[in-house]
Amino acid sequence: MLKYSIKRLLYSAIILIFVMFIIYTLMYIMPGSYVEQKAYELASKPGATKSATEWLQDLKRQYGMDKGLIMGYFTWLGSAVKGEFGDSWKWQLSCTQVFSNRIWYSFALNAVTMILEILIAIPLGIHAARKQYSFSDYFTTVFSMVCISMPTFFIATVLKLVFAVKLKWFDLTGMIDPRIHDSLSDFGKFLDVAKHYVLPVITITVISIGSLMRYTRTNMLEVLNSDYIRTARAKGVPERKVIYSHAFRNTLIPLITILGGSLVSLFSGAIITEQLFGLTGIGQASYQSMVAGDIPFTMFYLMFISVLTLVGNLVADLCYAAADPRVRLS
Amino acid sequence: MATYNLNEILKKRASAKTASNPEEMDLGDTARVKVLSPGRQVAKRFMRNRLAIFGSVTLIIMFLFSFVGPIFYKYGQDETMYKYEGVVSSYAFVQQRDEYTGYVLDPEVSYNRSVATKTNSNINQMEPKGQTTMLMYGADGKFYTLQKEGERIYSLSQSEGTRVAAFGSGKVKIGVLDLIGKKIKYEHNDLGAGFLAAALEACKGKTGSFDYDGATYDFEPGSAKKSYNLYAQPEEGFRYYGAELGAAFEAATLGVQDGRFEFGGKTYAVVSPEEGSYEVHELGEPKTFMMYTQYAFDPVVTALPLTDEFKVKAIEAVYGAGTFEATRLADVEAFLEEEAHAAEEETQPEGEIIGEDEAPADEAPERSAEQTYVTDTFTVAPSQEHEGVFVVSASDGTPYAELNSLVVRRYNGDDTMDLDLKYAIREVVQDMMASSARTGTLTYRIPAQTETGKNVYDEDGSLVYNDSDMTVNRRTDKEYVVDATQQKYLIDKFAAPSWDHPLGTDGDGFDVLARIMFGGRVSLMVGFVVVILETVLGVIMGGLAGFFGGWVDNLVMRLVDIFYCLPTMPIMIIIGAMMDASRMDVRLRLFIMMAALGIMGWAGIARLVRGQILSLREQEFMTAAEATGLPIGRRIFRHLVPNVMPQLIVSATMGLGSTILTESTLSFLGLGVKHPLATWGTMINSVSSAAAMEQYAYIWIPVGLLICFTVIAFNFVGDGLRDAFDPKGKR
Repeated sequence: MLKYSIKRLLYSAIILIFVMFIIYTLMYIMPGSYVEQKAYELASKPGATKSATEWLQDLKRQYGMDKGLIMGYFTWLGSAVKGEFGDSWKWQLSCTQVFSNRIWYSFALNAVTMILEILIAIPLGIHAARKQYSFSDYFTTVFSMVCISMPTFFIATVLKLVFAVKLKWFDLTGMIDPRIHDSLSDFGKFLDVAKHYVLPVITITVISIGSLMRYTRTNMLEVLNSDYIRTARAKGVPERKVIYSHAFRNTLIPLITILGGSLVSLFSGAIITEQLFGLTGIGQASYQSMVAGDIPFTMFYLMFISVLTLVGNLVADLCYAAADPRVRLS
Repeated sequence: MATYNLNEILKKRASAKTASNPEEMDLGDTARVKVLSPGRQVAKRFMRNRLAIFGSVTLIIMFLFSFVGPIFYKYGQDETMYKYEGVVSSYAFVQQRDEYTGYVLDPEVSYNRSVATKTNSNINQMEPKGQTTMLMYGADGKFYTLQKEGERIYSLSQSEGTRVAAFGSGKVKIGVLDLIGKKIKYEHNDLGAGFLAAALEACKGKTGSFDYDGATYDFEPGSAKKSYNLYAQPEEGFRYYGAELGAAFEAATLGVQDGRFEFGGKTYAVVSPEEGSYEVHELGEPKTFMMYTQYAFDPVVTALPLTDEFKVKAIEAVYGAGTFEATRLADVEAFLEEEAHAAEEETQPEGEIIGEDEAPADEAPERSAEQTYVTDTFTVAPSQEHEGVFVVSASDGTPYAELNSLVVRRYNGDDTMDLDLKYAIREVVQDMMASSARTGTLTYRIPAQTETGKNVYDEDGSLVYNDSDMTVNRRTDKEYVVDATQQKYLIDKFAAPSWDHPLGTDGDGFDVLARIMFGGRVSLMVGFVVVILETVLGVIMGGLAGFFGGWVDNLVMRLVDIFYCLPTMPIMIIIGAMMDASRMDVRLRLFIMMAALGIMGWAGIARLVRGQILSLREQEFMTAAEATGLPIGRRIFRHLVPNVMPQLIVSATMGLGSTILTESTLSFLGLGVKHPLATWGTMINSVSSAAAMEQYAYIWIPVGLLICFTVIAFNFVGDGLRDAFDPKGKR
């Protein structure tokens, strides 16, 4: 197991090196004029700590953009291994600082969403599988399909229209209510922020709930059709027990696998939702950096996302092995 | 002899048996077992799935809507809609002129500008005193006379002056003595060599005086180095520079009132170059070179340009000869036609003439760069109908222009209103002046206009008029503003749904329904192109990996791992932002976006194909294919890939939905397909601001629902296909 993990880690590192090479190439082939223009644009903003020339020099030094593609990439890799990602042009801070300032907002958003998702999707999926071809089965299938097919921005806009514009229950965008936030107690501040999280949480939940629901239903059906369930029923085990101790446990194996894998992605931020609702999480920071042409932070974020994906895959494999004793990793 | 066919006999016997007793059927009867081909089996299973049928019907409707709909719909995706709308704006400006405008009568006279610029203030001084002439001494040593010719018209003339005498108590400057050059630069007359000698001898030190020829002269240091200004000390009586003119002249001079007098048939002017000293000048023949007037010209033919030469001659003739000669446009009709054409060309830049044949006669007549002018004799006479108005008529008696001091112009200063409208407005203004009312109203027809202020012409080239209610507001005693509700031809922005535009129009005046149709084309096309691209890439890579195994498999699968790891959305956002900055052509952008999406999406399909092929290639039919010696390409693409087809079709159908989602999200963020190409995402983006969201819900909600329905339909069909292809796996 340990040996397997180490092997997988090394393998992931190699994959990461190649992934980052592709991303670095993308940055490298950006027209120089575009990079310069963006650097000057951002340096002329109020509060800029460095001039555009200094930034471009930093970029050359840390990212090796003036060397060849291969040499430049290894220069960047050298800086990245040492943890030097440079300063974000857009946010006027070092990339790691921007990251640590914002990551917990995104984490909170995704964590709440994931809990909601599990609480809603798994029971519904199991229920649908138990009564296959019933009305509730069809309803669940259609509902999950609708959820999968909804564009994020459409749900977000509809929610905003209904709850923010028409009913005025929530603010259109932002993390806090600037009029009252400062006068609130600590708990009040927490509630204020929580209120602003409601619409984004609903948005992401609606989008992600569908696939988990389908997955649960599919796996539950597979388990319910298997021989040992038939055996259990044949020998007279009560239906409740058949479902919850025989079938559900086995359904859990694939569920744990994908949930374990997506634990890591709690950190990845939600680019579009955060941007649309004005949450100052990592997703919004990265979106604005990408649009503004802030190369250091964009590189940093893309690397972060790639690492998350690779670690997520690894964790999923390990979870699978942990949940299913029949699986032997090698 | 009849043929004997056992088969037919048996069939007949069997059918007779069935007909007589349908219950009794032979176990081995072929009619009992209905065998369907695999394709029909799949189709039958698919048809049983209600959701899949719903999806298919939705998709068919969507395709018809997007690809066939635009053929029958009357509007295009970037066709701007216009409408007429009454817009209240400051239409005209009325002013009782109190300023005098100068027109140059004789351009050959060079004159002192500062005299001319003072004319208005000079007239203001003269008017209250009832003065009719004013004499001015210009800095250029010439005399100027401002002469009132009649009501509201003044002339400015210039005359040369010759100094004839000086008198008074002030010092008179003789000249400047130059010690180095040993000469005197006299102001007026030379006093001779003796004076020079005396001056040279006397001028030492700072100031002083010396005597010469019985008179005393003062000197003081001049402005230049080693120079002295010489002054004649004041002496009583007149000093003449030429012939003495006698006591009568002196008496006339002293009795002068406004600076000029007549004596002995000549005109003299008295000026005072310095305090207390006076000079008398004889004036030469005056040359009138400028005319000043409060009148403004209104051409009888609307917007006909009048030359300055015409104007100044007309002013001169008002109180003068009454007639004058000037040039005028030879053909007024041609001028009017040309105006109309010019306006039409501007309103329809791409004026495609849809005719049976594009005969050259249909094209606009060539615009003559210069109009031809003819000389004509004009008559100026007071108007019969209106007081204080002069009419200039051409030699054939037709009125050509009018002079009026109550000036009516368009608010931007253009003179494009017709004469009747001007009189209608004037009447109201004059009433208001009389009753000192603050507002007045009138109704008159004025031309309809485009948004850019161009007149609208109908098919025959004549102006389109609308009745307009106008309000005249007093700004000051002499200035009035006319507000008019003018019918303007505007871009029909954000029109609410109507019969013409079932879903209204958007912010650019485009028909929303048309844009939804064309947007559907783009969205579906992007989906198909991307999915085909990624499927082709995926099948090739997956097929190679699965078939060859070993290092090829290893290499391809590592590549798959790498592409699997690439974050699609962020990369698409970066590419979009980069293309934004380079202002790329919208169509090129679309292709780049499709290519990028395809390249990043093949990994999943490659993995699927490889997995299938790995299991398939161990089966007997592949061994058989190998044994028959089929080439590798044929084995992969004829025998293996068709067996992967079901899974490929399912994943492509599902992929279509997700690609449309990605594309619309990118377009919504403004980083995908760009204006003026329509896509569903862009359309929602254009009305997603907080204010627009509520007001224009009829634009974005149908569009958003269309995206949802299309994606749902693709997913249902994909699901249905999967179940139909693989009934054992059906859950």
